[in-house]
Amino acid sequence: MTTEVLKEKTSRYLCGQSVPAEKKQIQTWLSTTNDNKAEISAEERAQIENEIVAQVNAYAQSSIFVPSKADGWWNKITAFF
Amino acid sequence: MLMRKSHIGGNLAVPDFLFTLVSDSSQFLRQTTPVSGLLTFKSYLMNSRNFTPEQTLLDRLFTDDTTALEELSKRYCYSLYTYCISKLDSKEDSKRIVRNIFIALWEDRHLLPADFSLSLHLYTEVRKSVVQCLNNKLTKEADIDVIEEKIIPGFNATALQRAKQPVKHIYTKKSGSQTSVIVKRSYEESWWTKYSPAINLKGLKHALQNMVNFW
Repeated sequence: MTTEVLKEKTSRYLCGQSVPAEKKQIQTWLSTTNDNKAEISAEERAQIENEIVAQVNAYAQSSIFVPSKADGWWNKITAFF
Repeated sequence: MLMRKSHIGGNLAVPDFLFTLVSDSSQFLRQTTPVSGLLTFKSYLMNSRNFTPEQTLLDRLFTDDTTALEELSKRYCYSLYTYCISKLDSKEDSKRIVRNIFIALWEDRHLLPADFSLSLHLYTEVRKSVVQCLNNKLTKEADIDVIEEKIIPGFNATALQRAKQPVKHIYTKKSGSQTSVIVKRSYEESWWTKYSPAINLKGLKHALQNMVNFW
């Protein structure tokens, strides 16, 4: 298989126009597991987790952020005194 | 398909640490302990894992609770990340896919059906995202070498045969300077190898004695 062939297969798979054999091949590839997993230290794992969670949390917080209403000019004057 | 209706009157911007204090009563009690409050709070910030049911967290998502999203992402982000990196061999792409999955979940939190299954949703989304990412990388010349070397061999018939075999959990056990590989067998396989010796009367008697001792 070449990269061009794989690109055509994945394009058809994403559009839902792939033949059953191609669909099965890609789904089987997605379902294969990697037995030889590289060992990752607990610190590196925690770092990866914290990085992803922090980015997701930042997006969620920013989406519900509502800036407070600006004070009226009379409030500013009374605050000055 | 039943859809939940939004009943939120307004958005309340509250600092995140207040949510963490109030949302879980057990966490709140732990954090108010004067002696170790600071340490527990720090450890809670670093690796918070409570045992809140998943359905409760999904219900909290509906009420714009970011701590629920944080807890869900902490539970599943690493397993999704390892899956993506095993397929695409790219740390940045894997992180981006996992991040986008949870961001999309947050954006569609008010449209989740009543019979929503998070595990099924994550399963389908990560597989779709991996194929999309692979399709995008195939257009870039800089990634083609990596794809030809590491990803395309995975589409061979011999490599795909592994999908039809049962999953074997392989663990490595370190004892001093030696590391031994232990293959964890399924319950049926281990039972059969233990209680099915060579077929003879002596072996059968031995197997029956083992079974009696086991029970």
